[in-house]
Amino acid sequence: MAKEQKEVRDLQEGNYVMMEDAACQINAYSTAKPGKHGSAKARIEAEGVFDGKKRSLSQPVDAKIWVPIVNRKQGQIVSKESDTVAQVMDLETYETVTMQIPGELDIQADENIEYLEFEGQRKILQE
Amino acid sequence: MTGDDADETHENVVPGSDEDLDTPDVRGYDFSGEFDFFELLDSYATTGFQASHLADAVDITREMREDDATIYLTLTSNIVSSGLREVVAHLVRENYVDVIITTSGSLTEDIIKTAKPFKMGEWDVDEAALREEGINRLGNIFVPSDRYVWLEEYLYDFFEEFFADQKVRTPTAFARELGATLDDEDSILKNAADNDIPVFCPALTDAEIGNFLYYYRQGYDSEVGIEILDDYDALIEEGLLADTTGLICVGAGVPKHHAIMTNLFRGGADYAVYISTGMEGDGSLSGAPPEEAVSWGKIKDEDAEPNYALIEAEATLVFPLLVAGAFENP
Repeated sequence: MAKEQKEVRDLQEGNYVMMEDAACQINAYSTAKPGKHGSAKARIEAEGVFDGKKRSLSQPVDAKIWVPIVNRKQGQIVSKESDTVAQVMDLETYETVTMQIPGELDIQADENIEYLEFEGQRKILQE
Repeated sequence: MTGDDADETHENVVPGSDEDLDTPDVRGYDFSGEFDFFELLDSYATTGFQASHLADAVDITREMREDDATIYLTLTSNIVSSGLREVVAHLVRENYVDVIITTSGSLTEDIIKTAKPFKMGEWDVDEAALREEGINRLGNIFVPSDRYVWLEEYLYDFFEEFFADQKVRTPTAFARELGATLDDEDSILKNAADNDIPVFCPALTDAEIGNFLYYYRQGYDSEVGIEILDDYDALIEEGLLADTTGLICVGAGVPKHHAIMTNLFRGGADYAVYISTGMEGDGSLSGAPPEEAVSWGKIKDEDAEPNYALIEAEATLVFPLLVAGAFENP
């Protein structure tokens, strides 16, 4: 299973969370005490891990929320198709997959890299 | 001053006399005899200023009833915050009004009051200290935050039922089905549901109901929604099908405008009574007197008898008197 359920109160900055069906990483987490909006509420700001899009939500702290299980994996650059796309071999399964190279990352064939994977989406990590 | 000038001045005085004025004498209530509430109220007609406006409003509301007009009661949420909630509930319980138009805060507060009261407070307090204590202030009424925590749970349970078969619902359906769940004889929504009086709330999101719908849709059911055009259609039709309509607008804002706007479609309301502290000078709808609605075709202009009145006063003072004079005076 690539997702698990948690309560909003269990989250903190740096955690992953599902927002609008996208895996996101939390940039800011704050809570507001009970008031006109009812019970205590959490406000979360996060950025899509794979699409880079900023998202926010406000939810009761006891609400259930999905947390994606994002895997960090080791890989080796097999070849570069272009400046933005590379063939990467997973060093555990030896499977070769295509993935985007983040804009400012300068990598060459045969280099070892780390990448994130969640439900078929992959992203090469920068050092 | 010469003698000639004095004569000239004297000749220029236009004396003015009773003969040109066939109106009643200004005269207030005489407290020396045995006190009678309805006589006091009658004396308002000759007391002057806002007292006579109140007397006009009582007369016009009585005419609405004699004419069997479809009566629209519009109110803002501060009315429900105050003890006027019980006055409105009475009108609804007795079937004295046919249509209610209000704001989301009215619904919110009516629901809360079925379980937990609002408390008398003070105008002049340390607001930051109140915030720390979890007490919210409106005028000299205090509302502890636990009311909203209770409401949140109550509404989440209700939402599940309400959206079970249909995902997109109207504010009138919301008020009706929610009202049916309430157990409080002083509840406006409960009485409206019992008597099948529609409660229109075009701005349903503008209070905690909106906040909890927002959380509910995010957390539990992304397909739920509120549809307002169906209600607008029904409200216009209510006006078109009525032989005669009368408006009682307590406070202003969206509820007042929704009533006169939908009466536009039938050529204007036949009667209108406003209670308002809004000022005309800013050109706002809230401050607009009934005359202004005549120019838009939202209230009819009757030559013979005045068919509208504006009481420039705060509702907690005058609305119970209007209700007493127009609905309770035998």
